[in-house]
Amino acid sequence: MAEEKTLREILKKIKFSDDAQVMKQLVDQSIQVKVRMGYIRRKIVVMSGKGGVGKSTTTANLALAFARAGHTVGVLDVDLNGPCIPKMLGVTGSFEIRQEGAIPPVGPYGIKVASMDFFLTEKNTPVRWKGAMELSPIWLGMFEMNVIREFLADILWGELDYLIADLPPGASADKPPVIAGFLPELDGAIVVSTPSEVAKTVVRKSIVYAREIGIRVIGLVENMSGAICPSCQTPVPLFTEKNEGCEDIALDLDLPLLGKIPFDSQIAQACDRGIPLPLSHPTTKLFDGMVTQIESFLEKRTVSIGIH
Amino acid sequence: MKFVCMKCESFMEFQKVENPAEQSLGVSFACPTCGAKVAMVTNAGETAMVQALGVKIGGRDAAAAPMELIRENLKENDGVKTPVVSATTQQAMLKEEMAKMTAAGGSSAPAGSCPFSSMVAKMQGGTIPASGTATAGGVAATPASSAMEWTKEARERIERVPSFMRPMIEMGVENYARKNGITTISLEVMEE
Ligand SMILES: Nc1ncnc2c1ncn2[C@@H]1O[C@H](COP(=O)(O)OP(=O)(O)OP(=O)(O)O)[C@@H](O)[C@H]1O
Ligand SMILES: [Mg+2]
Ligand SMILES: [Zn+2]
Ligand SMILES: [Zn+2]
Repeated sequence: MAEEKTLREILKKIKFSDDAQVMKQLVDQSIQVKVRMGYIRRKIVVMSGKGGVGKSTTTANLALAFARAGHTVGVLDVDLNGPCIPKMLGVTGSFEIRQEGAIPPVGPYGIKVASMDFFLTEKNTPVRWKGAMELSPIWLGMFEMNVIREFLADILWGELDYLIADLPPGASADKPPVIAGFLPELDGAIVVSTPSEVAKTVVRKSIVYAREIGIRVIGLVENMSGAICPSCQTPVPLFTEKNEGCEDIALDLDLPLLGKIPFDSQIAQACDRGIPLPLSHPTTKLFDGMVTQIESFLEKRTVSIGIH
Repeated sequence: MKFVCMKCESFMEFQKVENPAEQSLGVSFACPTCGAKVAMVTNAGETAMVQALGVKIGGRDAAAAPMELIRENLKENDGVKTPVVSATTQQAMLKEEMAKMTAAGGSSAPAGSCPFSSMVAKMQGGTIPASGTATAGGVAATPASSAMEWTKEARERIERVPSFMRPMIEMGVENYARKNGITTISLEVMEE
């Protein structure tokens, strides 16, 4: 096109300056994320291809278990539309905005929590954004990514041993891994599933996809893995006729099955009230066991990198 | 962004912003030489794109306030203003790294000469700032076509970036490489 050529010549003459510096700003943003994340030793995400399987319950209890093991822990609630980590950990309050960043509220065992929940004054209404984000899912998705980026960039976690991110339920199997891939230098993902065939099918896809985009899957947590009969104390399968759980995916995908959490009304109540399960509760020990496995997995990994 | 009067070979000057319709803004420009006028009209999506990236068109003159994007865009915070934060130690660190990355060229252009800033500020219900502090951004940055070589590993790394971010990251890496006289993008270049 002749006109394009002319414009090029004109611009050569009048010197075009990039006032907006869009690229510079985007690079600035990602550098800031890198700088902040530099203070965090391990970053893991809790995800699933499926909603309602117990990701947040697992995240909250893992955070407690890591903290009990003597680690400094932060929890990032990436579920912007259904943030529930603050409630589950019994954390209230809001960020303290300082010049250098936002200081997150602190919960049991000094666990630091960052959540969209702290921005909402109306706790029972959904998050609503201004402008066209309300109208278009495309812009909303992009904006949400950027909100997550802002959480990563602006929160003053200080030095942490572990940052655990609770991912939102995905509309499709590929969404949680994409969000996980957004966290820089992620150490790995914990995947939660129930033993139901429906959940397992979606979760399997999600794991395969996560691996494809380079996310290391640390292990699988089977939640609502049968119930304990209140009167005779026998385990009763919930989803399958035989009492078989997620062993098959774990085996197929060569993944450790980190633990099987039974369906237990005490867990649900503890979460609803924001009070940790009693130390004597069997599930508490289950989570402590998972922490040991996760730590040794991550240590092994560090050693093998060192050899390379 | 700028408009050029092709006839006079000069940049057009920003004149005014108006609201021709809901969720839309019209920005008028005039050529200082011949007086020719043009107006640009945006739709909701275009403005949202700019908002969604959390970039300030017109450039930033102050560091972003912590959690600014969230606080400015939450509907329930309508009317709440984010305080402008001055530079901090951390920002100074960022600047230093940035200086290395965008070694030369146009990076200290005065903010605010771009009409988009006032436009987006208005869109967000704020007043028009004198020096462009509106939240804005742009996929508008058209990818610089290049003859840059990428190694397989570097390619793989970039493929992991969410697709909408990829062109921007690629561009950043390539710009960096270009400024440093690098012609092949390897993992090492990306790390830098
Ligand atoms: N092992 C369990 N025993 C009893 N109730 C449980 C158990 N695990 C989770 N729940 C309950 O199931 C509900 C859903 O759990 P949770 O919110 O952790 O799932 P999620 O995967 O995070 O959901 P979402 O996809 O919506 O984020 C909660 O009410 C929780 O208390
Ligand atoms: Mg959840
Ligand atoms: Zn019984
Ligand atoms: Zn003219």
